[in-house]
Amino acid sequence: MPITHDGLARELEYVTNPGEHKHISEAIEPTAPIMQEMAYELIVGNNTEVDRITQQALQDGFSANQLLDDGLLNGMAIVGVKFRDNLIFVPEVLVAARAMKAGMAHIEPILSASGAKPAGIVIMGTVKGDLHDIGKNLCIMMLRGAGFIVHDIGVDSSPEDFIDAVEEHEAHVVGMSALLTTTMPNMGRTIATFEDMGMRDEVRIMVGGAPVTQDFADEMGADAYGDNAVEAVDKAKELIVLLEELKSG
Amino acid sequence: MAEKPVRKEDLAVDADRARVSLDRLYNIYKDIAVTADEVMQTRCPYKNADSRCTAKFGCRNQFFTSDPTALPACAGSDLIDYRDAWDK
Repeated sequence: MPITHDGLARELEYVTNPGEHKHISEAIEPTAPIMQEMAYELIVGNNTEVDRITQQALQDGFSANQLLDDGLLNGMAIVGVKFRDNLIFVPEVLVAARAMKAGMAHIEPILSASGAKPAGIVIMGTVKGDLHDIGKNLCIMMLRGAGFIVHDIGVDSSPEDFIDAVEEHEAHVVGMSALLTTTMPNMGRTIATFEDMGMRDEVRIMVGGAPVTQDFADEMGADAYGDNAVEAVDKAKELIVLLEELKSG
Repeated sequence: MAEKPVRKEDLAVDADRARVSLDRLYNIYKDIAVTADEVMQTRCPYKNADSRCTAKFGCRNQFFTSDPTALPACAGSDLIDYRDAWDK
């Protein structure tokens, strides 16, 4: 059955590798029109529409598995190919990831009810004085993809912002990002504030960013350093295990 | 043939299928993150596909047009390290 959504059919034309084209076509073709619409809106980064369509599809009786596989994942697969082939760039990927989050917001509670536990709760922010957020946003995308619940407190975040977020969301891990050598020391100040507030043992803290090194992380008293977004996930998983071991005594 | 929606009372999740799906999503994101690291060696990550700047901070490569609602154009060359133009 041909793809019925014109926009999605056009998007699929960007997948030029024959094997990939066949694989993705075969995944999309049997899907319902509303799933194709969801995939398309995710590709173009329309989080409002993905949110609306996801709710509509659940009301119509589609299962969380169908929404995930037929709608969201089919869309993100095309995003991945377009990014790899330099047809879109990091900003477009991040708006697609935001749309994915809008859909997952409705699917995650269903998955949780079925016994799927989140990997952990993470607070992510760029430290005070720093407005650079691409690295942080890529880490957030990866962490969410790995099953973490992530609360993004944005850029220019003070130590108090991190502390408030940890208290509000009962987070397990804090991730701090800095791009500037001038703002890197604010990571240390934030860690010191957690110590002053008597909260240092409640959370594990990881840091990252272009000028940050393992030595600097050690010097500041961070629990982990991640060189890139993939490593951030590995470190967060390790920290969750560490924290559980600490709490179990 | 289009997959028929299941009944509301059949909303139960196939947990194994969901796990496979989430693993697939993670792998798509992982490929994206690896590609992003490569692309960022030469191209500013705040520059979108229309060569518009999405950064929330100042940069000497931002070229503002008369439309105050439009994102500034990026006047940077991918041959020069874009980080030098960022506001510190």
